[in-house]
Amino acid sequence: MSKKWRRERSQYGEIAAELKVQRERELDFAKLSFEERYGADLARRLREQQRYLKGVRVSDRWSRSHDLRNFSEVLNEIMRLRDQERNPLRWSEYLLYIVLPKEERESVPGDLLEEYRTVILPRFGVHLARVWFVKQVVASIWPFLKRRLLKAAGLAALLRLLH
Amino acid sequence: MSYTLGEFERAVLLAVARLDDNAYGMRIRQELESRLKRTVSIGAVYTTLDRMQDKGFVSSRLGEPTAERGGRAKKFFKVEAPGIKALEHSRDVATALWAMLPARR
Repeated sequence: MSKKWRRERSQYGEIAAELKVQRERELDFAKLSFEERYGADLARRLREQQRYLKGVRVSDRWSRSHDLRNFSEVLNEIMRLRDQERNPLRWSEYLLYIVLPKEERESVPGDLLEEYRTVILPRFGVHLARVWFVKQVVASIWPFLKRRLLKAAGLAALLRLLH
Repeated sequence: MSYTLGEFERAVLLAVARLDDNAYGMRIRQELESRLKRTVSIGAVYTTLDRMQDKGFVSSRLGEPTAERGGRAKKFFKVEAPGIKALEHSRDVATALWAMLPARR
């Protein structure tokens, strides 16, 4: 073994020994409690702050989700009621559809719905607006029915003439 | 071709002429109610318009659907030349009838 090699080994050995000691110190430090690491006073304050932040975050999260749940439920209910109010009674619309000729099934309910939503509902409220809609439907039944009957009668007369 | 108009037909035709480009069911009904001072059903308006369309007095076209109508299109009406002639005829008849009355002192 040369002199040089022996010196190098001892140097590396020293470095390795130093690294080992440092590592052990780090491990020991990690094992230390707050109190041992930062002193009793600082450790107490850190613990308090940690507890406070944890508590706040958790309660905040819970209350926020709870509030949101309530809010969305209320919002859904409002939207449901608003939709219900914005539309007239369904059976009255069906009744109108029965008597309407095919070519008027778009325009007549549209006109009634537009007037119901834009004029009658804001002015008189849901109940009177619905009464108005039903009144319009009932009053419209006879004219449409009469027109249909007259057309059918005219067609029947024409067929009789042709035969 | 007959240009005779009934009282309600004349009122509807005049309302359509007055509303011009904005003549559709709801507006015509509102116009008639405010002028005639009585309730008018949408059914009466449409059947009258349908009848007059068969006679060639009015023509119709479909407009764009809108949200407040539940996505349904408007049906716009327009007075045609025979319709104007029928209105003039109706006015002449009325004037002639009024002229029959003796003048009041």
